[in-house]
This record gives sequence, structure tokens and C-alpha cells, in this order.
Amino acid sequence: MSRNESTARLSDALYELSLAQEVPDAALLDEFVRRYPEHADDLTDFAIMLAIDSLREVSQGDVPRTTLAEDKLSPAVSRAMSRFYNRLHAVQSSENISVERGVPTSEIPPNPFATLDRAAFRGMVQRLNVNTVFAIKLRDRHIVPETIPKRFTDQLAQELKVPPGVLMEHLNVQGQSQMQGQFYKAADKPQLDIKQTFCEAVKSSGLNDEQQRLLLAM
Amino acid sequence: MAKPLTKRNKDGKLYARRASVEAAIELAQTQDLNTLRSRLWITDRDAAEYLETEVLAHLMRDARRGMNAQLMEALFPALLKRCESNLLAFVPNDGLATAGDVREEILGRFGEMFAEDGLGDNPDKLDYFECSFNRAFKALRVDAVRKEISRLQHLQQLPDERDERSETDDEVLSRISKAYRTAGTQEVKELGQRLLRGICALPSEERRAVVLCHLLGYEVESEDPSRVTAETLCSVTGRTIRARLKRAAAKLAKFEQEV
Repeated sequence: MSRNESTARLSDALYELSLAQEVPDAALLDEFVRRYPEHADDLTDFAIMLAIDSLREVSQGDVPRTTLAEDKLSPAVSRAMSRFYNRLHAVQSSENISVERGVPTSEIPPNPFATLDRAAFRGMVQRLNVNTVFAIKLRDRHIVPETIPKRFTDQLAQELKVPPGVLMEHLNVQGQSQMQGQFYKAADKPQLDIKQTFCEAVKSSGLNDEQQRLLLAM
Repeated sequence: MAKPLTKRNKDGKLYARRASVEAAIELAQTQDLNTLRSRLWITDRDAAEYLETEVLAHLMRDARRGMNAQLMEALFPALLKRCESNLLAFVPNDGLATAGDVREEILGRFGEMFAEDGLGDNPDKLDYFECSFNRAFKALRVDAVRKEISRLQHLQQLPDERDERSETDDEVLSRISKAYRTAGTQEVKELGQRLLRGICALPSEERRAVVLCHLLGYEVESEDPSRVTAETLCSVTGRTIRARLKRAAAKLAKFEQEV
């Protein structure tokens, strides 16, 4: 059994255990351990936590009802939406690649930043309320695309005047790009093999506190 | 008619949606986007227009399969918002140092599951959420929390515990045991409120002993070597289990007095 198959089998076992009874007991756990002996430890740990969670459930009663209106989504919900769309894009891209096998690999998606000259790049930086360092990290794919909030990629796509899908294709291309010449002042160009999460990039690009706060709230 | 579920339960039978969920899906599928939008944010579960979370999960999967962007944009925030409320209640800040991160990871992972629906090694995993959303989401939540607790314990190893001799468990453990088996009573609610934090605050080995013996109902040990007991599950002697139970009982009794 491959590692992925084993993980999927464990995942099924955990869901089945949770769905089988309102609260787990020794008989149910024994039954699952017999069916999935290779996951006995995980199942036992899970059943223990499930029992504690059940105690919390009965002590709390119903989950408090949400009262927030649609236009007041929390940053956590917004970021989960972003992860959904980013993953969806990645899944669709890989599906397309599978379907289109045989297409020359030199067909790299267009780089939407390539059309910007220095002044246009600076204008974009200002309007996005970021700084040049952060914008270069984006342009050169130094940021893990799945971690970039959808609200931000939508704004960026609008600035670049391309559909969000085209921007995501560029950001998802394996390996980092480097535009030659004019944007680098330092003697050393950025490292090619290190990618940061959106959060790490926000915190490590010299953005001021307010800029960081706004970006991380997206 | 809603697409049938394909996952099977432990007895090999196909999971099925509740009849009320099937009926609500059928009705929702005939309604236009504006009507659906107006129903999505109704939170009163007794209201006729309220959409059960299983229905939201089905509609979202359906929208994802058909790549209906408008419907996904409308449905998913409402579904995620309900999940967030659940997480705030069951992964509270006072129970885990990194609770905020864990809640966010669960919510994000849940979002990604819809993107991956129908693909990979477990293509119909979301079937569980259409069958019983709360129990399926509980599995996702509990699994994430247990992994985080395990990760934090690796970072901060607890010192070895001493063995102590004890013949009896304290009365507080018996009450926990009784309350767990009579769920839904006022006694359980009060007990849970008083002692849940205490149980969660116990060192992991003591908590494990309490849950195995007093919630799940395992014997401490057995003469029969084929029997699964707390002793065999924890790979220690019965004497060690009893010592852990004694220490836990003392801490819980003290905690109860202080609350």
C-alpha cells in the first residue's frame, strides 16, 4: 500500500469512527482497531480526543448561531476562500496539463509583469500600497501562490489588466523568474530557490506596520 | 435528484443523506440564485427557509463540479462562516496555545477539500459531510487538534512520571464516567463545564488514562492476555495506569474546588 493510500485509508477510518456513534466507547474503538490494525495508535489517540470533544459538546449545548452578515466575513474565512480558489486553480492547471500532454513545454504562460516599464511598475506598487521589495517577490514568484489571499490577487490582476486566471498561471509556474537588469540595485540578486509564504513575505519586506496590517487582514 | 453518495460505512452499506436533507436539496435545486442567497444567511434552525449545513455542502459540491462561479461565490462564505462559529466554540483560545492557528488551518484545509473533490486518492471524502455534517466536521477538527497537541508535546517533553501505588480511583472520576454515559442531562452539562478544562489541562498520559478508563470504558488491566485494556493500549503496567488515575483524580478534585 502506498503512503497516499494509507493516509486515505486512515482518513476514512477517522470519519467512519466519528459518524458511527454519538460518543465513542471501547467496543467501537476495538472494532475499528481490528479493521485497521496498521492505524491502531492513531485511532486510539483520535478516539480519546473525540471523547473529550464530545464532553465539550454536551457541556456547551448547541454551537452559537452565527449572526454576522454576508459582507462582514472574518479574515479567517477570507483566507479559507483564498485557499479554495488557489487550490482549485492548481487542480485545474494540473488537469489541463494532463489533458494537453504533448504540447511543447516551452509554452510558458505569459508573464503579466513583462509589459510594465519602470514607471508603471512603481505606479502599481503605490496603488497596491506595498513597496518595491514586496512587488518584486511577487513578480519573480518568490511567494507560494496558494498562500496569497484571493482579494490581493484580484487587485493585482486588475492592476496588471489581466484575468485572475492568467496571473495565477504565472504565479504557479515552477521555479522563479528574474526580470533582467533595471530593478536590481543590490550587488546580489535574490535567491532563486527559496519561496516564502505570503505572511512571511509581508513581514520580511520592510513594509511599514500599517501596510503589514492591511495585507495580513486580507 | 441529488447525486447518490458513494462512501460506505463500517458495515459496508452506502452512506445516505437524511430524508429532510434530500428534500431540501431537491427544493433548493429548483430555486434561483437570488432566492438561495436570501436563504443562506438565515441562522434560525427552526425557520422554514433555513438550509441545513448538509444541504449547503451538497450545493457547494454541485457548484464546484459544474464550475458555477456565481453559485460558489454565494455559497462558500456562508458555509465557511458556519464552520468558523463551530471552531470558535470547540477550539477555544483557553484550551490550546496555538488555537487561532489551528482554527485557521482547519478552515483552510476544509476549503481545499472542495477544490480537490472528486480527485486524488480519496475522491468522495466530502460524502461524509452530506451524511452528517457536524460529525464529519468534528472528525476533521479533532484530528487537527490531536496532531497539534502531539506537535506541541514534541516541542516540550514532559518529565517521566513516578509510579505510585493506589487501589482506588477517586469519586470525581466515577462521576465523570457516569456523566459521559448519560449525555444530554443537566448533570453532564454542569460537570462538563466544571471539569472539562481540568481534564484538558492534565498531562497527556494522565488524560489518556482518564479518558480510556472513565469515558471510553476500558478496564485498567486484565488477566486475559487477549483483552484490550488501558494497560495494553498505553504499553505500561496496570499499576502505572492506576497511579496516573490517582494523580489525575487528585488534580481534578482540586480543580473542581477552585472553579
